[in-house]
Amino acid sequence: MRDLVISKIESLENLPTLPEIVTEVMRIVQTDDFSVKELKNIIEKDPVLTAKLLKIANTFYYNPYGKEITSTERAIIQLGTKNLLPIVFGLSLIKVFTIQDDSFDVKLFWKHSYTCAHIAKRIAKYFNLPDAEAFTAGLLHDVGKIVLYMIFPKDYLKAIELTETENIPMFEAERRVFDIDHAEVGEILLNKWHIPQLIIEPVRYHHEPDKAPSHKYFAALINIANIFTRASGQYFGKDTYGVVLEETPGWLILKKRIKEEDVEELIMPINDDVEEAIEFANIAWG
Amino acid sequence: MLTSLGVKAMEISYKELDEISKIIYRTSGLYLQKRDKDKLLKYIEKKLAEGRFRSLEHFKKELEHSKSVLYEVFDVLTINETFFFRHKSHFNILEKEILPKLFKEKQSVKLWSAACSTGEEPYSMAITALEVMEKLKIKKTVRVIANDISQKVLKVAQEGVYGSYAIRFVPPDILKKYFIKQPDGKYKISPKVKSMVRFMHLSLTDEAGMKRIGNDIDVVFCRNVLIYFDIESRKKALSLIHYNMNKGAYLFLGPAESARGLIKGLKIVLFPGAIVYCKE
Repeated sequence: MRDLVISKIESLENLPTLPEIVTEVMRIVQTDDFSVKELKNIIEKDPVLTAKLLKIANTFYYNPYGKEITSTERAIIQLGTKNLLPIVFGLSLIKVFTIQDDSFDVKLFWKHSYTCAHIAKRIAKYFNLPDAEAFTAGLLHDVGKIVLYMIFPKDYLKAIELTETENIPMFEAERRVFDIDHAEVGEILLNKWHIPQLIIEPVRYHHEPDKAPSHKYFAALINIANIFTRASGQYFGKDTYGVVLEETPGWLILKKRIKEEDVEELIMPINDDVEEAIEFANIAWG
Repeated sequence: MLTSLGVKAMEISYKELDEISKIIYRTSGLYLQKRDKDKLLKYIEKKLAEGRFRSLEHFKKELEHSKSVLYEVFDVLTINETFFFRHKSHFNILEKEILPKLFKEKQSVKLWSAACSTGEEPYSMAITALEVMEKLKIKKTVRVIANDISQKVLKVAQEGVYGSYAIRFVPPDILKKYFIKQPDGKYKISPKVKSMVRFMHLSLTDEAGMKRIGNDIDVVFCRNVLIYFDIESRKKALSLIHYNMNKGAYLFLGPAESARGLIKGLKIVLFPGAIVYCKE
């Protein structure tokens, strides 16, 4: 099964490609020298995306005290160029994977992903890690799930059922059914999409951050963000077991990065993150 | 916008609201979400317009020094609501994770509703335990201790008769199984559930009284209670609760409540939809 899964993704058969606009924004922001105008010109090629971007720029999260933003240029400045790619990603991705099947709760899947993105972004600042990239990694961490479902829908539903009957995490259920899990599948797809390794590694190792070769802290961050997302109730699996925070691999790695362990400061705002994420998701859905 | 008293009500910014939220967090341990802040903003604007507070500074001072203002804010945020199965995810975890594990390990299980108010919480805990036993086809001894400082609410709890508001989230099959419909349309808790619950008139900071609960508790629900205490009383209550818990016992606080100050002897356990403390 494992080889079949890999070959299907490698061939990108029936799998979406990254929207051109995301690729273009990614290319521009990776250069040393770019202007807001260049970004504006790319964004405005897509009027729907432009409208959504303006809405995001006017949310309480990005524009709590200011006046209404009505131009794309102003929106890009307000959001900050470093946040632009993650947001464009967030707004485009949802339309890339279309599933019209009720047995896979695609809305809950995205709510989980957006919540994880927002939690990762917030706690990244706490651990002094890059927050814009944390958002993208949080957004993409489970993308392998939707890919697995698109290729093998019936088997995937079996794996979901296993999380309930065996009370095991999704990645373990997937390994039992497919001999591969969503983290690895996500890595294969994102490599195809030419996403930077800083994003791919936490996606690949968000369940076992200690194995991440180069970006251990970042993988640990997504591990914790994912556990917090589950605790927020925005959760896709059907398992119910408890996780002791101080024993999670992510925490064991990240605790070295903070002077004083003020766990509650990290945990208390989770419901704010959920509110922001749902608002973002609603704009992305349009 | 100028109110009749000339107070510029609309000038309260989110920065100021954040400051007010911090005062509330500091004094009560309650974390305000954005939607709470929106409610709080409306409340402050209304009170300023009515002339109850002269200014925002006046409100902040009152908030820090007068319990009644803080309690009024809790009322606005509907913190003190009580109904069956409130914070459903807590009962889900009790049902799916904690009770089955306890029933595997021991014959007799002791639950505690700390500050039980009018009884909805301890009865919900008892019903959950009955449902788990039925599902697993086992018989165990389950006792629910429920205490409150107010004799008035305990009287209501002991009568066990509830209106439509309190039972609005009770699934129909559970309602049928564990409640008896009264001629006036209200619902009375069944004797089977009632017999599992023992009510006690006790304050959470009464050291001698708390010892009477016993130090063999497996699960404590103490939700949206400690926010009414000052920091010293909160510490004291938490340490008395902690003392009464078995090793490995679980403590549920309100979803926006912090246990700052007594985090040492408690581990944080994250379940889907719930963050719970576990005694080390």
